[in-house]
Amino acid sequence: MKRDPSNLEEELRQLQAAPLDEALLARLEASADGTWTELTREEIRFENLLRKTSPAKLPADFLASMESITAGIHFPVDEKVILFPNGNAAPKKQKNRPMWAAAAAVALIGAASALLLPTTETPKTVAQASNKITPPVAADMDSNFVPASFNRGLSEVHDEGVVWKSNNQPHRLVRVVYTDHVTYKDSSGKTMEVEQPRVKYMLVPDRTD
Amino acid sequence: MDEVTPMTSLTAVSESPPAASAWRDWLEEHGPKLLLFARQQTRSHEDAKDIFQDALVKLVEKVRTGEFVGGQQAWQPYLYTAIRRLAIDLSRSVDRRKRREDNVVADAADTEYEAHHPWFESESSDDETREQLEVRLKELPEKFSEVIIMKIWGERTFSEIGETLGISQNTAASRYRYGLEALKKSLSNARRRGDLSI
Repeated sequence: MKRDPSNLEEELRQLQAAPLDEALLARLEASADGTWTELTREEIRFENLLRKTSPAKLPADFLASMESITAGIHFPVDEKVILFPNGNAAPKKQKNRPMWAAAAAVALIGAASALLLPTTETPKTVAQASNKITPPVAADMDSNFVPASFNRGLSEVHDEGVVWKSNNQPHRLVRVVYTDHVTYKDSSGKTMEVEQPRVKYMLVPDRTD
Repeated sequence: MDEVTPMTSLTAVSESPPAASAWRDWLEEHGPKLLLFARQQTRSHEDAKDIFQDALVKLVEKVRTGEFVGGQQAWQPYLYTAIRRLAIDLSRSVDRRKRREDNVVADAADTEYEAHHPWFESESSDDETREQLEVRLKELPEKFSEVIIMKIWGERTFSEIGETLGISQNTAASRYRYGLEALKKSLSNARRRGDLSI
């Protein structure tokens, strides 16, 4: 006896797909919102417990044979990998500011200090490597003139390259040119201005990297 | 004459490739987890060593010729993928498998040999724990155990595991969760039966 196909279709239509179980629903939901790959606290705990057991080391003969495969092949070094780190060496901070700028700053501080000093005294040096500063007074100047004001301007700064000191520490040799401007006055109020260039060489510790 | 000997040994040291120790360092650090994965993918310790070695040869050749794209960080994903592909190729080698299955004596010898080459070592856990962990991992469906081994001991992300296995990271996460749950249950049963003291 033939069944009416339309009835069968009707019967099948009345059947419904089984609903998703709660676990699958939760999984789909978590996958959709991108949290399915995040582990629960319990999963992480068990994971850490398993991790306490380490994979067995490579057998010595096998390690030797594996190493022989790499013989003569250059081991490429990534920027992030340091092959032979010095355990005592602290990581160096990157300095982006040029050394001559530091030297110029030192020179400016020196010049500013000179302005604050009494004019009759010799300005003190600010750097170990600098020359002694003497008052820019010509020997044949009339003794009636006395210094009334002193001004020092920074004219030029040159980077002369790297020099190595005896302790193997590299230093940058910086040539700093100042111009001392001194105004002299005599008892009658007559003034005389003298300009004198000065050159200083400074050693500034440099980076080794 | 006494002065010649130290000079000779000094020369020998200086002539050895300077990069050799770097490769060794790398192998000592990453080799154990890669070999563990290879062992999970193959039927024997020897097969695992073979495919790990073949995978390394492929990598080194690419590095040597400059074909390898990516830095050192890409080596491990490459090796995991290579090991898996080589293991699949090996398992498809019907003749080899048939020889193994037909030779009972060889199988017994293999079992004994495997016992001397455990998958794990640990300073904190005892032999019993290591053995049970190895046994339970071997009992797990392969698709679960490979993800667990890559995630826990290979320290791979789900995304990297997905790439190696050709599945999505969500599928990798699913396999990992189910595998972890199954492993936990299996170890708990072993503990209840007294096979595991912890």
